[in-house]
Amino acid sequence: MSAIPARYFDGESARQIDVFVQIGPQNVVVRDDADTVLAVWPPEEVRLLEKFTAGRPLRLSRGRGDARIIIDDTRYLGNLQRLCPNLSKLRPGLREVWRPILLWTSVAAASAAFLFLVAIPFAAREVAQAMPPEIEAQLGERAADQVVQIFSGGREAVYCSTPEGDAALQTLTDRFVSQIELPYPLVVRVVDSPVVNAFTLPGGQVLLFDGLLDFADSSEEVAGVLAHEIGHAVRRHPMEVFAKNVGAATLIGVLLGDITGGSAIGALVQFTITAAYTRDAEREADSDAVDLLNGAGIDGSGLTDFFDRLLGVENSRLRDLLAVINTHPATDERSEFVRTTATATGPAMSDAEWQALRNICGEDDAEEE
Amino acid sequence: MTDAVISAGASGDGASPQGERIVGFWGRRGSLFGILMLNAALGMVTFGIYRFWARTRLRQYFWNSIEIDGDLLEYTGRGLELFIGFLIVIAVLVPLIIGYQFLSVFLQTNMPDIFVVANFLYFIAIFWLTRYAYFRARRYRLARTVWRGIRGGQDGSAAGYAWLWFGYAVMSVITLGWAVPWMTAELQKYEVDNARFGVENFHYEGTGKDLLRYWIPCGIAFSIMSLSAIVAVAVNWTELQLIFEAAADPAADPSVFGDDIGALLGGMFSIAIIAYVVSIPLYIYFRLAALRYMVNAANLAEVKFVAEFSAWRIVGYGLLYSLIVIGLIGIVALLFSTFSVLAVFSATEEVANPALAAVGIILAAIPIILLLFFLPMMNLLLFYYPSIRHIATTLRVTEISSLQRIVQSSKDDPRFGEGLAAALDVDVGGF
Repeated sequence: MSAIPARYFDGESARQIDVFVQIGPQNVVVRDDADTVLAVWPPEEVRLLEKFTAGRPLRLSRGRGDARIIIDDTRYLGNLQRLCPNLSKLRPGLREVWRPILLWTSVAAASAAFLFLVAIPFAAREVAQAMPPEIEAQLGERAADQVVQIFSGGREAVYCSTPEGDAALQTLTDRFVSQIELPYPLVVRVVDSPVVNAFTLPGGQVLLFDGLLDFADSSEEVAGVLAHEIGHAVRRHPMEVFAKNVGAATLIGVLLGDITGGSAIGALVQFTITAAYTRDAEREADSDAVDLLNGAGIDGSGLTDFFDRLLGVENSRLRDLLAVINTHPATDERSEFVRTTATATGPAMSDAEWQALRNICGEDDAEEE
Repeated sequence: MTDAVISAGASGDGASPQGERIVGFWGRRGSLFGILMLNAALGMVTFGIYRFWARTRLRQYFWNSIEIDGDLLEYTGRGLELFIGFLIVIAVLVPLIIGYQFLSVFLQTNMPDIFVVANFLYFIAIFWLTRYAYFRARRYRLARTVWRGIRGGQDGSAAGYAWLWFGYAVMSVITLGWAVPWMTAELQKYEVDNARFGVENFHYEGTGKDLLRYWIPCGIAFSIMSLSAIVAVAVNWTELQLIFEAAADPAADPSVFGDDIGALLGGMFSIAIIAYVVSIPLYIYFRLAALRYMVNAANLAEVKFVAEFSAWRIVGYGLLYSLIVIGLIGIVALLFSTFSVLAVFSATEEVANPALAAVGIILAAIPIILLLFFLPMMNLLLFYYPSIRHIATTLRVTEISSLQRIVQSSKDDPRFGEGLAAALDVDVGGF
């Protein structure tokens, strides 16, 4: 095998040494002018540093080492390719590209899944329980206005209020609240919106939509829904969802390179509405609702009737308004639970009170059906 | 000869054009485009996780396209190192940010005064961290830069650098920007004096006074901007106070004050806004002139560098790039609005042509998707590529043979890369 003239940098100093390189099947030997052996590289460790470009020198390293052999005469590429099996493996070929992708997308997916499914829900639960009630109450107040604004198409939040309607709602609420201890005062308000929905925001802010009052057949149905929402408030579920969303938005922000998370936080309020509670949370709220209804002596079948009727709605225009189905998925299991545990049979309020509550946003709405 | 070269180096910019053109540029736009296409495609399918490998690939390309005295620069960093560095930082940073989010909600409702202060401190901390991250990223990058088998390096402390930056940043605000040349020189000195090739340290011989003349155009624009803003606020102070008081009153109707304050601010700050827009290219010019000054003020062993690139030429590349991007966005916006109008029109009850509506939606979406795909690579192709080529090919170097005696340093190199810089998005060019 002939000796190839080359330049050699030993990786110890920047000094250039003119050498001759002999490429053999056993080893690659670097000798200087005086025939002193400067380096012996195993052929399988010889790497080409850059993809070959015609007219450019061949630059070689030993694995990831610092030493460099530079061969200006590119005709020797063939010799190298024949004897050095891993010549092109340092620079990312297709193999080096897809391997880390496959490996690290699965690692990233696993860690993201862990963060989203385990770490954040766990932390959110802890945060919700530890959150000082005064702060949660103020947070809820601000969130309520924003949420209602979204439902009123960007207009100012419109809450309905009549002296008789307020009194009826307050009396009903008091019958539940007197049985429990809440860390913050419960605020139940009716929103002027045709959407059939009800939800609870952090800090005991319960929002009943006028559409729901119209859709309900009896005051017991409204009482059932209200008791369920109070169940969420007692367990501080809304705060938990809020904390979960802050965590998730921050994580997404950082992963995508948005350090302040400003854009993500803006979308938070919207998340808070659409984010359904977990199945466990719904079960807890149902169980609390039954206890509250039993304690107040109100017929619990209103709760199941309401959800059963929701499922039966065929009118597509009305269905669009039934947002409550998404936030409170009705299942046979839940109905069954309420049916077997709700024991009271009393009314929720007098007929006069019920009429006052239904007309709290004006009489026109109530006569629509 | 050697003495003359060194004495010329005493004042950064005064060096006469000596030295040899031994820096070559071997990059080709076609191969850069290929890398960018592959990077963008892989970035999409991996939801952005590929960006660390993409960045590595780009650095390999740019380092490898620069040849000094017959030998290419090499970038030996790996995507995996960047990714692990990023993951480490995420583990620390995410809990901190989430914690601050909750703290800020707490403060906002309970102690609004402290909230304002805390928010201010938070943003200062973020700025401090970006400078810290920048220096850490330099450490990684230089340690992974190899020429003739010898690794570069960056000593010095990232925290020291960040505090130096912080002190001068405060000074710059107080002096309405006139401390910037001195700030730049001091930061350059810290960067360069602590940088090394093998065991040999670079040396910086520059002063803020020399940089002042490049700052004057931008400094005037900055001064006009800040002075007119201050005067405008001072003159309208009573009105502003009334508006802010009213805005703070929850019982007031906010829409009334919204219009007022918009009109008032618009009138007040028009001069400041014009000055700001003018200052952008002037600032870029200053940064480039300062970069050229730094190269000229730096030396390594007996090696002296003479940078002769034209800062205005690179500002020109920047303007051309901006115009092309604005033009493309305009075209895409036009196509999008045309086709989405078509889609909405076909969906109306009179026409009710769902097939046509679907075609409209697809035609409206395609230009947007193409823009999102190609926009991130435009700055590299149209700005960084020609700029780096121009800077490299106009560089002269003297006494390169004095580097022969430099030996490899045995200092520990950083094991993982740039985590903080990646998380804070410090690199502007995306590589």
